[in-house]
Amino acid sequence: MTPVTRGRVFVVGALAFGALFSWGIVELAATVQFNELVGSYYPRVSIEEVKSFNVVSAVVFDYRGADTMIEQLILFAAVVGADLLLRKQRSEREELPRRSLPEREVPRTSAALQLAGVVLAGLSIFVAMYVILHAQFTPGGGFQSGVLLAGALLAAYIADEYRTFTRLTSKPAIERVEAVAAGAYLVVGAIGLAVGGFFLDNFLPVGELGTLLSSGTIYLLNLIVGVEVTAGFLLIIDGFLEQTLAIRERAMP
Amino acid sequence: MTLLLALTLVLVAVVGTAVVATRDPVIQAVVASAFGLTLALAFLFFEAPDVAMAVIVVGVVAVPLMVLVTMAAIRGGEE
Repeated sequence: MTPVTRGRVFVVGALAFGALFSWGIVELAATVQFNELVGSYYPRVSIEEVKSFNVVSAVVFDYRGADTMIEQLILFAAVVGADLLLRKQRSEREELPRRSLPEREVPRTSAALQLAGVVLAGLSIFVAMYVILHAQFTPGGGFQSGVLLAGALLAAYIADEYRTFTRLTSKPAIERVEAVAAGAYLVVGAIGLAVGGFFLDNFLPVGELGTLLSSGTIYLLNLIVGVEVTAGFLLIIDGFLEQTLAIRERAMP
Repeated sequence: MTLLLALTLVLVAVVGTAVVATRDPVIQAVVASAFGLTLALAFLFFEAPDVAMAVIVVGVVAVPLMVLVTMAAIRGGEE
């Protein structure tokens, strides 16, 4: 396809898309009215009903809990896909990372980088714990906390080396944790269905507003998502690092 | 406050343009990381701290890291 033909195809496509898109927006604006009842309902009732100061958490993990379930399943699928693509192919072989080979002299990681990495790892774990345990009071929740925890181990890699990262993380174990956490969300939803009559019903006691163990299943689902996201990001990071540092093209015979 | 919001949006636009204008992928990853920080600022000032945290961890750390590691893998193969 020559650049001119490509340009023509693009113009036709862009015009058609633009026309359909504008048509859709105009139709949508004419028929759909913003329902302010729902918009003002959640902030008003979330504190009273599920005892969560953080309206975002209440919406994401309770009123719209099914959406979050789909989202975490999307993350699960993405992690599986990335892992599948980054696995060791038949044409590749695994070797020790070059800097770990005994005969190779490598410059040591500078003291400043080591210190920064250790401080960063500690801080990340601390903030992650705070964020996940206070999901119903302050901004953030399972997702943010999970990525922070995975980032802490990444800081360990930056401060030291790849083998430290693999020593701290066992891939088969993380894979299982990831799968179990993804399934646990469905199980909590199913228990809600059995106990409360509908899927993802907040069947646990919501407790007292402002206490740590309040807001019922919001708290539980946050922990589950936190574990799943941590495991998922660790698998992705591990896949990329392994692909870069340990997997080489097999030499052609 | 309105001035602050406007300034943040301009900052996002400027750094976003810088990301597009950077041609070297390795440098681009670092610039994209800085772009993530300005986005996080914008979300913070628009009172969406949850989104700001997500941007920091994904846009500032995870995505640039993957670009850098991928670049390293490609260059390692060229040796």
